[in-house]
Amino acid sequence: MTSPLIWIAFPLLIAVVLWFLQQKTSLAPGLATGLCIILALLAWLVPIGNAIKLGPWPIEIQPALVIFGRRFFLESSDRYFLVLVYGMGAFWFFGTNVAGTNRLFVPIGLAIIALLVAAMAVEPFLYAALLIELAVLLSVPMFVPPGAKSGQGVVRYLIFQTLALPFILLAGWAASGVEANPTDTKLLLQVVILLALGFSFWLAIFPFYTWVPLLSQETHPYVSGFILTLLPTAVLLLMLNFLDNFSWLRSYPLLPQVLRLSGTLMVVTGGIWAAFQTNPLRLAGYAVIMESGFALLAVSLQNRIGLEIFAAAQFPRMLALALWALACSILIKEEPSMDFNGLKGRLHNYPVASSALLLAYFSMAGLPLLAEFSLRLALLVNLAQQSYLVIGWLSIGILGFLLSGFRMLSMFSTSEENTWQVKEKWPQVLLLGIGSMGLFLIGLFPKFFLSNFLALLQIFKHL
Amino acid sequence: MGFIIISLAGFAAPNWGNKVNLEKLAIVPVLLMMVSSLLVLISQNWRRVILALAIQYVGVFWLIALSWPVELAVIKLVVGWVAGAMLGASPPADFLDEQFSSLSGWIFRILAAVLVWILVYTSTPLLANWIPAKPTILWGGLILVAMGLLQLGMTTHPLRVVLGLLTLLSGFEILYATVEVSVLVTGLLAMINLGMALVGSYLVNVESMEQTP
Repeated sequence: MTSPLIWIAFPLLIAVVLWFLQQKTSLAPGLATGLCIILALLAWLVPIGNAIKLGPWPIEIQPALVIFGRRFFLESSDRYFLVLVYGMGAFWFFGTNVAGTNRLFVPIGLAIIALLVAAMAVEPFLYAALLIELAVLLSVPMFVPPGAKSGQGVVRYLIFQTLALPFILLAGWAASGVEANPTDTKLLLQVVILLALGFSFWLAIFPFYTWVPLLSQETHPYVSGFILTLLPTAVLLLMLNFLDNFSWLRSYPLLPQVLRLSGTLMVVTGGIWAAFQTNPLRLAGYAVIMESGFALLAVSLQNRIGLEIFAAAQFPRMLALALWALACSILIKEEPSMDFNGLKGRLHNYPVASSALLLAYFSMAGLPLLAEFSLRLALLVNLAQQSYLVIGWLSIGILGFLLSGFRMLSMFSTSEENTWQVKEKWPQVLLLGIGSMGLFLIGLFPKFFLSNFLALLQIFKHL
Repeated sequence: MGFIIISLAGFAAPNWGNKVNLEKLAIVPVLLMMVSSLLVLISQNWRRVILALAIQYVGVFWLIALSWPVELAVIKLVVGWVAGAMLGASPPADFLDEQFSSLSGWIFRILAAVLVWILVYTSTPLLANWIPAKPTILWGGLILVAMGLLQLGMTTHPLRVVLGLLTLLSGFEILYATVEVSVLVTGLLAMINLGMALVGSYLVNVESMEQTP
């Protein structure tokens, strides 16, 4: 038994089985959630590469699987990545029925998770680009289910994600040349440019992010929330993998400046554009852009604290986006356009969904007492030690984002009627309530909840 | 059509399959790809576009065969034709691009393509410093990459976008074949090409498909 078989091949197989079970709208999400929980627990509890005794039977999970001369390798240090990814999967699949997504979400979603794990496991890891492209192609039917109309957002998403592939593969080839001759500065510059372009397309870095708000607006909020949480997380981890593997890239003198500039541009432009939005779905897109910007800024610190902020931010970010997506999925049934004017007074008849959406929004804005506050504060304090100018620009972006949040709050709470009613169903109230409480609890006890996520950094041995 | 072209090429070069002759005639696939990618760009008839795509993949196979063993390079041809068949199996209801169906639209597209070819010709020596390949391979690869990008910049129609992406990927595969020979990469790229064609035909027909709750 090998780890890639357990965490890649097996979920892929189950995804195929779930494809045929998609008519069973309760069974498929239940099975996918159960499987993700089991795989996450297995990754957490069972060491890879060491024999353990299961009753009278000794079992050992080997870390490598060889296919066509290339290795898929998941060792013990990758276990926390597996816990994170399959934990995320369980989290999202659990809310499928409550959110009312299309039937393709569960089987395709599970296959995408398995492909992203394969992308992290493949050696040489540059082939990850091919597996991520496969995941992108698989996600299209999830965004545009049968009977729906394909919009510009999906087409642009496909274009931009595909454009990353040639750059990353060519960068991989050129990187091997730099490994052989590290003094070739011309080649080094070419590799850095290729990598920068590849990751810019993948992570929707300024100015390649026009598809993000479009996609969020056009597609089901829960589906876009799932992809926009999972894909940037996988790509950011892959980026750190690059930095971990190539010492010449880590020590490239312009790297921190480039990362800081990209991150700042994303936060500032994302925040300013968010201030002019009147649709919570588009705002989710800008929130994702800002979150990626903050992640790049954390990496740009190039020290242990920056990496810890990056790793710890994964869970609150996912929780806030999931809560937002769930709340939007409930509200969109009543108001398909999801315009601010149409959502006027929703706090009076959808109090739980509206407050969950606002809480998620303000958590991502970094408001005190909410999940991301402590991490945002730590990041800004550390950035301030390097540049006050960056802090000034970031404040403009955050203010723009907050401005839209307060407008949304005002719209949600303004109602001519003074009556209050709870239109949400009890499973919706339960999930939204747990999520909202989670944001508060993480905000109040960040160290207790987030310190476990630092184990994610074990993957990177040289960072 | 592709078969006829291969036969004609074989007639022109009796020792078909011999790498030396493939190299001598390497300008043929470049010309083929110029014409076929131009057809993909300007034609308003989806059947002709699919046919042009099939011809394009003959050129791709030919140029890749200069870097790889023929038995491995032929995968690109088969995959390309299967991708074309997938797209051809789902005729779009609205393929006509009204913006460019007029004479001025045609002229604009042809002029843009000519400019792209000139740009490719002039920039090839620069790329040759970096990728160690023959000029014909670089021309072929760059022409497809540039024509694919041109297509992507001129349309929002899902099928045309997928055609643009397939063209772009074909060009990249020609260039990448000169530096990397890996069965896994070949397999994954084949899956991506087929997946792209499947996505294209899915997006064209998705609206008329049975709704899923």
